[in-house]
Amino acid sequence: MTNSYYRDRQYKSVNGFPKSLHLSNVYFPNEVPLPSRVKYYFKSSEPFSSYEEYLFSLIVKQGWHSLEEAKSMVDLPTQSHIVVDCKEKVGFVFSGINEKLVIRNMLVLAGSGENIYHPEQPLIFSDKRMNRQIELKRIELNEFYDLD
Amino acid sequence: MFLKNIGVLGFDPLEKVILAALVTEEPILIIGRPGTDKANLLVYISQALGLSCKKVNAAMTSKLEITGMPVVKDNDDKITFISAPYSVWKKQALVFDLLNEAKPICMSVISSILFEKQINGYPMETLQYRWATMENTDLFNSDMTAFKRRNIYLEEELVENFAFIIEAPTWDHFSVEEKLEGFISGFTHPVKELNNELIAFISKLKPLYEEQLLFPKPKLAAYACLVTSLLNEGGVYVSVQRSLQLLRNLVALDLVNEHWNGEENKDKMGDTLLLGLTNTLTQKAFHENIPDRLIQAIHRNMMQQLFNEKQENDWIGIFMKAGLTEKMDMLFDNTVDKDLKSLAFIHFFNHSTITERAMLVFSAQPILHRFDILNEEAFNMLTKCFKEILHVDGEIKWLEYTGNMEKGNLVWSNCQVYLLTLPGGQTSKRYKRAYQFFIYLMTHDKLIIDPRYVEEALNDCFEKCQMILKFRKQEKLS
Repeated sequence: MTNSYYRDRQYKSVNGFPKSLHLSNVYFPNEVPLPSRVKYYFKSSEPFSSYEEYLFSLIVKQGWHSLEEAKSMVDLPTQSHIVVDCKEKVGFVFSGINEKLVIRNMLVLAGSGENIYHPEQPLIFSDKRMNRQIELKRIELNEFYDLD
Repeated sequence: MFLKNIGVLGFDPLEKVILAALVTEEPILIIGRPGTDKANLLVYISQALGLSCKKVNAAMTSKLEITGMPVVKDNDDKITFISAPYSVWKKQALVFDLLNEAKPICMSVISSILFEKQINGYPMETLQYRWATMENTDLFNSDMTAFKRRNIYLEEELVENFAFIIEAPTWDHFSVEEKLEGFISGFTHPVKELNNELIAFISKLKPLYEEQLLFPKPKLAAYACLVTSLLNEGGVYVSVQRSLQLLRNLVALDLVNEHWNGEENKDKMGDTLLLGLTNTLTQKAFHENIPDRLIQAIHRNMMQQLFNEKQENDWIGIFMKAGLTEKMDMLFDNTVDKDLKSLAFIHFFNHSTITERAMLVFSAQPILHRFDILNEEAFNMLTKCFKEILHVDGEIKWLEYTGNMEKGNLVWSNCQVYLLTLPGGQTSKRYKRAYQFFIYLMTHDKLIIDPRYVEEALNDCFEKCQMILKFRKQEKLS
């Protein structure tokens, strides 16, 4: 039991009502189904020196010759999306299971800024970007504005 | 555009003025420091236009050298001049270099060539362009003891007759590319070929200019007239003749601007008028400094009066004062620059209440995103806030003890009561977004005193966005 929780309990017992109320709600109307609902994350069981080198080793393994070819082969989202951190983190390591999936996730993570994913944004392979678990959301305009 | 093609560098900001002078065929005076290539400008242009040109050093020349030897024919009252290669009779373009250093005895001949196209009453039928240069008045030596002994100011009456008075660019005026290009091409390396584009451009505009002189655009005439009045009131002498000259210059510049190739290089009307005004005033030939701020202030005043033009700086002010729905209209105004909109948005974002900011962000982010209205910086700011509204996960803190234990937080209870009154019930979009908006504000310690007022304002914003979206869709379809 944390101190603040204890203090809140005490407050409620003295005053008869809690000191604060927790509210939580997600308002993402009718997201575009796939691939935006997919959680993008990356965790490798194999050791590697840099993200770029690891990515290129996977690309070579697939028999592709360039980053552009890899981009075209892994079904990257073609439109810009809002980047949202996943609240429920995935705990397991998945590299080696499906290398195509690993490549796609690495490309999406590197191409997503703090708030926006854009297919033409430059890829940045930083620890901060690569150690996230994100979802891409795209608002459907008719749904959001209640239009037919 | 044209000048660079013929190898003249550094004159980009004045290119339209030079083209206007070529259209009007009126004399221009170029003031500049030594070595600015001012005297060769017309020589290069003449080569491109296929005209015979002669540069006359006014400081060194004599009357005979200009005219050639006069001869009286037998039994005839007329004088003829012996044609010599150096005489100016058959030339189509003439440049009088260092006009201010010309000997007084030559000045009458030079001024009659410059302004009347004649010598001793004999017309120079082939002559089209007459330009003159003088040294920058900053170099004039006031005590007349140094090496520039003959440097004197031109007579005011003489300067009044020049159509444009321009200053030749110095090193500081050259762009980095021009400096590099200049060193590669050797700076005085004009393209000695005919430039058909330039010839076509000038010959297309000449008849149009003559036509427009008869009936100048009323706004140009009003601008010239009112600017003259204000300058005179401000202590800057502008004669009646100069005012009419200003109008002629503006007509020519307006034509050049209208027919200028490439949309991106077309100046706004205001820029063209200011260019005409600053290069028509004679004061720079006499070392009289007119403060830039005076000219700018008069020009802006005129633009607002005549063209109802709102200056860019005002746009942000107007945006800040506008209501939320008006702000949306302003953001979707295609005539306003994206960076200006973004700057205004960032300013609003940093200087507005959380309620106002969140309303605009919540309602407009998806359409601002879809139609790419803001630049990256502003859009990141917008989206960060949008994400916080869409996914609320926080605490509502009790702000004060109300004595009503049953209801808990009175403010939140009021909001809930109001939400239930909304049409369509809990499943309606309006209910859902109002609920989301309230809990966002509550978890950010915002006291919602009047939930109805807040919700209705939010709903207005959403309805505005719906309208914009519908309009855009229709526009796309049509």
